Order: sequence, then structure tokens, then C-alpha cells
Amino acid sequence: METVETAGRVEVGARARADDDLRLLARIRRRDLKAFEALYRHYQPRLTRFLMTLLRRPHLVEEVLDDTLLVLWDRPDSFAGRSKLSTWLFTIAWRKAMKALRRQDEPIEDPFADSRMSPDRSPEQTAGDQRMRAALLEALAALSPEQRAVVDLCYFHEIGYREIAQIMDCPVDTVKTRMFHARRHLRRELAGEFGDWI
Amino acid sequence: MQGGICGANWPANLATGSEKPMADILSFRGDPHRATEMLLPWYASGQLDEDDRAVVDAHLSQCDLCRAALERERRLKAQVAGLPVRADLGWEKLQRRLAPDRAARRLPLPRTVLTWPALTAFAAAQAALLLGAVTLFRPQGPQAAYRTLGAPAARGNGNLLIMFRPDTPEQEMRLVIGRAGARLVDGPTAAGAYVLDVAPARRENVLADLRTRHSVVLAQPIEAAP
Repeated sequence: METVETAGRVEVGARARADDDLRLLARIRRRDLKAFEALYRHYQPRLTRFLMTLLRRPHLVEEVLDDTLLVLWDRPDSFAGRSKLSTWLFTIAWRKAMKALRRQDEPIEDPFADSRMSPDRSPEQTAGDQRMRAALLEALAALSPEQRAVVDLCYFHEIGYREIAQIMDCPVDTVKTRMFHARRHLRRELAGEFGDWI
Repeated sequence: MQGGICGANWPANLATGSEKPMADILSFRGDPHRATEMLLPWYASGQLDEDDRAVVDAHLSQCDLCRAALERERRLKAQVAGLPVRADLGWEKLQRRLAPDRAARRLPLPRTVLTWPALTAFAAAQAALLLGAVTLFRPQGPQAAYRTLGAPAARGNGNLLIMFRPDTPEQEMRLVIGRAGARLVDGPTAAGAYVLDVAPARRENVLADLRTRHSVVLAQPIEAAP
């Protein structure tokens, strides 16, 4: 079955990536800056996306992102190998992000502002997808940080519910429930104009 | 819009669409219709456990509505995953955090890391000096006619200069030189560089390969004297 084959390929790719990560981490423990750079460059886009979705404040994202990845360099031995390195990094990012959110109470900058108006596309081309994106972004913004995190980890990072539960330190059923509520909200918000599509 | 994909009667607490604490945790394990709905996001990305996948597969094979829901789920996933997010943060910025002035306050990094750019610059300067010396004192054509085995001039002139990281083990150096198919003709110099000789046709490829090696700080061609 297509789904089974896809899952198989995903699994093989994930295992290879996890092995690469461990090799790089071993080099980081020997203070190899190039290995740190390699891991940084691999995880920076993924973590940035996750944190931007979650925090929606670029300056905060930058701070949490660097603090998260510097744990790799400063305390590589704190990774005990009980999970994948990627899970460990997302867990640190999640904890630091929630801590940062708790101490923040300022207006949210719009991390998607640049994407809303693209000079490369004609008004005709942009009309449909821009409206859809705008509606989707508004709907996402109305979700709780916990729901946004699950949506991003599931839809974009394609992380399984058990691993998400590890990252967010909550029961698996809570992850499923958060996702359920989030999707329900998104579908409802998009129902008017995009009802046929969604 | 109908919230439940299969038109099922959802519990009243779902009608709000907002998350409340533990009271709202849903468990539909006894109902494959609803269990499928809960699991579709992970089914769509191939991230389900085997048991759960079997439940969803079995249900999808007999439920048209849920198959349609899966298609909608895939479209929603693609839209959310495709949202561009500004991500202009990067390694260069973090490197500035690793810079000595800041590191002294925040990051007790080892000297080898903090001084690495300076070391590289120093090594490059030394190599440039060596390169000049090699070129300047290169044996000239007529002298080659009189050289004898064992005499210094009997060694090839060398057409490539290489410098290893200071902590590179001797075994790694031999390996790198051997794999390059090169012959060691001079060094180590006072600056710690070596002069290698490789077939001229292969030199560019060898240089490109050497420059990718972690243990190599510098690999430069040495041009023949005019």
C-alpha cells in the first residue's frame, strides 16, 4: 500500500538522520565547531519555524532558538540518548518557548507579514491563495500556543503523536485532543469561503 | 460547516472548538469512526503506529465519508505546511554570539575554538610566506641536470602546499597524502606546512578534495617559476 511504503521510506530516512545526528554529536563532544555548525544548519530552519508558529515574536524566537541550540554546544553531555536528538531539541525549544511566553506580555509582531504581499505574483495569481493563507493564519492565531505547537509538529515536521507527547511532556491523548480541537477550529474558520475545499 | 466528518454526534464539549483542561481529553478507541477522525493527521503523514494504522485502514476501506475526509485532511496539511514563515536567523548571527567578547561573558568556550579564526589567519600568513620562499628558492632548470640521487635537489619541486590542523595525528596525515596520490617532497617547514607533488593533470581535483578534509587547514597550488 502506498501509505505503508511511504511510512517505510520515512522511517528509513529518519533512522539515517538520527545516526548522522549522533555522529555529529560525538564530534561536538570533542569540541568540533564544524559538527556544531552542521547540526545548527540542519535544525535551525525547523526550530525557527516551530518557534515562530508558537511564539509569533521574531526577537523572542531568535533568543529561544539560539539558547536551544547552544545547549548542544555548551552541554552536549546532557543528551542522555533516551530519545532521538531531534526530539530532545524540540523538547528544549518547547520548554524554553513556554518559559519565554510566560514572561512576555507584549504585542505580537506578525511573522507572516512578508508572505502576505508578494511582488512576484500578479493580483490574479495571488488573490485565491493569499485569501486562503490570510484566513488560515488568522485561524491559527486564534489557537492556543499548545494547539499551534501540535499543528506545526504534526503537519509541517511530520512528527508522530508519541514523540509530540514527549516533546510537550503530556499524555498522548492530550496531543490527539489538541490536534482534534485545532483542526476543528481551522475547518470552521475556513468554512465560509473555502467550504468546498476544506 | 459540519464539525464531525462522518456526521457523528459529537460530545457537547467539542462544540466550543476551544481547548479546556483535562476534562476535554477525548478517547474514542471503542468507535473506529471517531478513532479514525482523531488519527487522520498522522495517518496522512505516515506517522501512525502499526496497530492504529490497521484500525484506520480497515475503517477507510468501508467508509466513503472518511476517505473524503482524508483528502480534505491532506489539503489542510499541505496548506498549513506550506505557509511561509520568516526565518532570517542564522549561523552567522550565532557565530557572533560565539565571538570572544561575548563568549567571555556567556560562554566559557575552549581556547581552541575561540582562537580558531586567528589561528587560521596566522597559518595562512605563514603559508603565504612559505609559498614565496618556495618560489624564490626553487631550483632552476640548468641545476637539475647535475643533481644526484640523495641530494636535496633530487626531490621533485612539488606543486602543492598543504597545512594540517595542529592536532592532526601523523596517521591521518599519511592517509590524506596517500589518498591524494601525492608524494611528500618537503616539510615540515617552520610554519608546519608540507610541499607535495602530484601529477599536474590531477592537481585541481586533488586540491578540491583536500580542501574538504577536516584535518586540512590550507591547500594551495604552487606555480612553476617563470
